[in-house]
Amino acid sequence: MSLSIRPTYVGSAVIFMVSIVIMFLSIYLTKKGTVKPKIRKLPGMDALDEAIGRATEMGRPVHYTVGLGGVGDSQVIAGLSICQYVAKKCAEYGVRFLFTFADPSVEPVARDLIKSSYTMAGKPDEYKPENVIWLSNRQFAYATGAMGLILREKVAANLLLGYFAAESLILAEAGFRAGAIQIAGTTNSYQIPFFIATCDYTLISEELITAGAYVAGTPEQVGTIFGQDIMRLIGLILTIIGLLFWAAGNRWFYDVLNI
Amino acid sequence: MSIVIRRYIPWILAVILTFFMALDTLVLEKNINAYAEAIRKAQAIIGTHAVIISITLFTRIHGRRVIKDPKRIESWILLICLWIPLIWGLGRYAFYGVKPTVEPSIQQVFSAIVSPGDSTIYSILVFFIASAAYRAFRARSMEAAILLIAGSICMLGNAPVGELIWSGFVPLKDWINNVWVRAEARVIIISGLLATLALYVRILLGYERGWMGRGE
Amino acid sequence: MESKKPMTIWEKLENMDVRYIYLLMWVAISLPILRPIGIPLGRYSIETLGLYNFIDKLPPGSIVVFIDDQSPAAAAECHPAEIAIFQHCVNKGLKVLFYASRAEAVPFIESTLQKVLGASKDHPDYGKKYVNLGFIPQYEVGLAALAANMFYTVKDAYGNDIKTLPFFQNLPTGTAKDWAIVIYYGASSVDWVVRQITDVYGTKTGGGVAAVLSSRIYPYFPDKVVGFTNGLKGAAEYEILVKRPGDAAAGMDAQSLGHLVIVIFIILGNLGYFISKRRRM
Repeated sequence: MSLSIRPTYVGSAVIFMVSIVIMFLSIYLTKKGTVKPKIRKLPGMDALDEAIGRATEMGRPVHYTVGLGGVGDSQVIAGLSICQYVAKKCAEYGVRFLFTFADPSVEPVARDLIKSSYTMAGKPDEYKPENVIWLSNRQFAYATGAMGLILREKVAANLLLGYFAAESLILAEAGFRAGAIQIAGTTNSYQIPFFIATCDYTLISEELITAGAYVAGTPEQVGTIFGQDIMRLIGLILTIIGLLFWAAGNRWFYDVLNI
Repeated sequence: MSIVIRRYIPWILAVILTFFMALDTLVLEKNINAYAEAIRKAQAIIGTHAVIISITLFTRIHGRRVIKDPKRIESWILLICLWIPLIWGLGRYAFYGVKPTVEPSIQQVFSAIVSPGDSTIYSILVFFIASAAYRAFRARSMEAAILLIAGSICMLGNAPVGELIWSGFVPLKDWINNVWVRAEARVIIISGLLATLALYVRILLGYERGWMGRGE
Repeated sequence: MESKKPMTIWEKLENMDVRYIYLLMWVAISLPILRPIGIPLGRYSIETLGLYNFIDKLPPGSIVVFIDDQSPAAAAECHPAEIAIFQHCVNKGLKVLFYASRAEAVPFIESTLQKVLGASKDHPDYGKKYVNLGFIPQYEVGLAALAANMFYTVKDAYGNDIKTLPFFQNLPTGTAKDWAIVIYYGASSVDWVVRQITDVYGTKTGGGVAAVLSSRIYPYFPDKVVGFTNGLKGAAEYEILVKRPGDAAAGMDAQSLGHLVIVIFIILGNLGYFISKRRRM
């Protein structure tokens, strides 16, 4: 068996292994209590309770969608983590919870998650399968369906947390027309401006992905956020070193990282 | 179903497959690469089969609706539009060997109805962008004012009429794109990737279980 | 009973009914399409020129790969660019390999061949200079497989065995190293193309992309992505450069007026906001 690292992937392999080690170390240190990282406030996440409370007062439903992605997409996984929290709160307050999605692979996971959220809230009978709605796996058919649902049901809270492409503005404007409080989040850098322009709260890129850990708040989860911050710091230091080398006209550092 | 099967087996499978696929990405070895290719094909097949689950549930929900109330036109239309092309396409493939992606009637339906429908909904964005820009681009604060000015410069720089109004819009737009937008895109991409790495570590360690479906 | 004070003009400007905005946008977009104004395009952008100059300098016989990832929605911006860029490749005697990374983009390859060559599989140069591989699934994985082995698909979109096609004869390595450039048409992401092609094989990437994607491409421009057509304007510029004005050039008047109307409404909204705010204070 002849084993070799793929050409141009040596640097990636090293960074990958270093990242894993740092993550494990951060989790270990946070769990042990040696490090007590403070996570800054995420207004979007703190507003979830406000949104659900508003829906309870108005007697209107909460609409939650994870967008176009499938269950393998990190944004959808993050969206489903938050969905668990929101579904449980909605069950507790007796608010109708509407969940829409585009990719069929999300369906079994979402149904199970929402059903168990209702069970954990002590209201398993209030779970209604017809409130977990697969609209279409075509982007704009899904957008049209979600837009119609938001406007017909006059949702009080419109939560757009997942993978969104061009339909982001369609959904956000529909939520605005319905008079809903809107919390949105995606890592698609070119859809974030649309959400910022139309939604009350936006989770930008990593804020969405770490939202699940933020909500859970356990030392292990917070440790991973700390680990990612250390990786970011390392990236920053490497960038500055690279910048200095490049400014001095020396390609050595660039070539080393580019192996 | 026991907790071992529902919780631990998917998690163990995920851990093994993650490290194996990471190995395939980084390493050149005939057998590892061949197995990884087979796993990718399996993933595509399994993902496609998720459609079957959704079609079944979809049919069940809308089927119950039309049985309860036969006047529900929208459910009838949905079921007809779902099942007739499905049966037709599968039948044509089974009996005549014509793949649905090149089957002329299905391509006609796609070109005549689905494709223009997609374009029409996409074009609604022009109105929504106008109303969102009108509402959101208010100089309520310093940041909002900067957003407003940058947005206006980029809009006029991207349209030929902007250059007619003032030739400086284009170089300003280029500067915004090449300096600020480039930096912003890099930051968002890098931070998103780091957060995704942290998420996958949480999944591998079993702290994140939303993807399995079961709650805490 | 307190009577409601009538809204001043400034308050009306601050809180305009959006239907007026929709109406004016509709007029601004549709009128120039029905009756073109002829606003000059202005100077060419560096992004479009980057791609044009790169293709212009390629020696005849170089292989250019077109990846069609456009949905019908994005096709309004990407398809005119694809036609113009393909025309340029035809003019320069380059070899072009088409494939679609999503099933719904397959008709656009056919349309491009028809519009530029007048025929697709029946054209005398099909199989020699131009090949359509049809739909290759799994985006990044599919591209990686094709880049590692150009004979990956075995058959082209029309059922021909690709080993028998002259296009695939005498390839130096049979991998993406033989490609001069890969051009991505779509609106989702160019990262996976850069990752699998430019980073691994060194082959440059180009783009005929929707404007919304441009912010995502700038980090790679101009080192890895040599150039791209930025939405409809970029497509129009390319059409003019290859002297084949088409749908993109025809749409520029509408784009100009549309952008102008949005900026005017932003200015009016801000005027209304500030003057009303001052009056309230």
